[in-house]
Amino acid sequence: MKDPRVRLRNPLIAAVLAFAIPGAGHWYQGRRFKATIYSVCILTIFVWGMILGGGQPVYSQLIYRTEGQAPTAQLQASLPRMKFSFGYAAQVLVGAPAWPAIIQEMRIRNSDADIKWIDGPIKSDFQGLLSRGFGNPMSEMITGTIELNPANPQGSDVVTGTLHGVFADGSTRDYVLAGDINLGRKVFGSPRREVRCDVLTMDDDGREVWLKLEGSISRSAVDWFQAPRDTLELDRLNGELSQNFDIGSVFTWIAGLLNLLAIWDAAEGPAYGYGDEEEIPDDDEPAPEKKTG
Amino acid sequence: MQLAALYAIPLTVGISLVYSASRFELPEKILRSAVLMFAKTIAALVALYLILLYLSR
Repeated sequence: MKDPRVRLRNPLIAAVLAFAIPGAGHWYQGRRFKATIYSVCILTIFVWGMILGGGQPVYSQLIYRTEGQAPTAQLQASLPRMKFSFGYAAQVLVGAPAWPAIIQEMRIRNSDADIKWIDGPIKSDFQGLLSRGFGNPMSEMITGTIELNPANPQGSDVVTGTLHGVFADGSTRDYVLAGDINLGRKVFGSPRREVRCDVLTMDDDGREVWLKLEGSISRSAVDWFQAPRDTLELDRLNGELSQNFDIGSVFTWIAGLLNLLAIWDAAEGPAYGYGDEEEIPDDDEPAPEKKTG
Repeated sequence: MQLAALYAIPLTVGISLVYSASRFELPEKILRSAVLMFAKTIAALVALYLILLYLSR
């Protein structure tokens, strides 16, 4: 409802600003009280949802592994098969805070995923399993520090590396990584980047033994924040955060949908009017009896 | 009652304020409408909780 007392200035600009940052459109119109309500309430609900969801409830696409390509979607070199996340249709309405998801989706679509390529030396914490074969039940948990170095300082798919491993019993051992060192995609919606490679070591009798190393290293926040992820990562988040991940996701949806009301208000004004109109009685209510005499 | 259920209180405050702000322009009317909406929503949630609690016995 348009009320002449409500100054909308240019409604289109106001609506675009309201979409970009909750409350910005109303601030532009000089409606500072409502701008404060919208920005504080909507951004608080959104940030709260992000915190509950471990910083990961917002993503635009879900990645599916192509059959026979790789053991996981992260290690898949071909362009990933992606499906739109419907929750993002609500989240994107919150504006700029949800836009990184679009940038991350473009980065994945427009980048090669050479799973053996690294841009430069990497030194990171490592956690994973050491076994005589991938998926072998007789595997040992191992943590520690991994160092990966490209053959060329500017980046290469010929990678060498070492692992300073710490076993569950506290014992330590250094390993030289060998064979093809496969790394998960650079951009992916998980703070952990998968690593798979062979390890050459000596057994107690002094014979060479090849072992399989599978685990993960840290991924830069710039490369995982709001990036598309796979169902494995969603399973991990649900396992780690339990109901909080779902609650956090719902909060971010609510924040986006609330901003839709704010965008509408910036463009069209308040829905019911200024607020000082006399209430019109319902037709069903009996009219008051007139006093006679 | 789980702690997460208490999240409903600040969430309802936020939703009530934003919804009322989108309906009216006058600050007093927005606040009055938001308080009323908050009270009604919390009352409905409590009633629903009590019904589910009774049924789950």
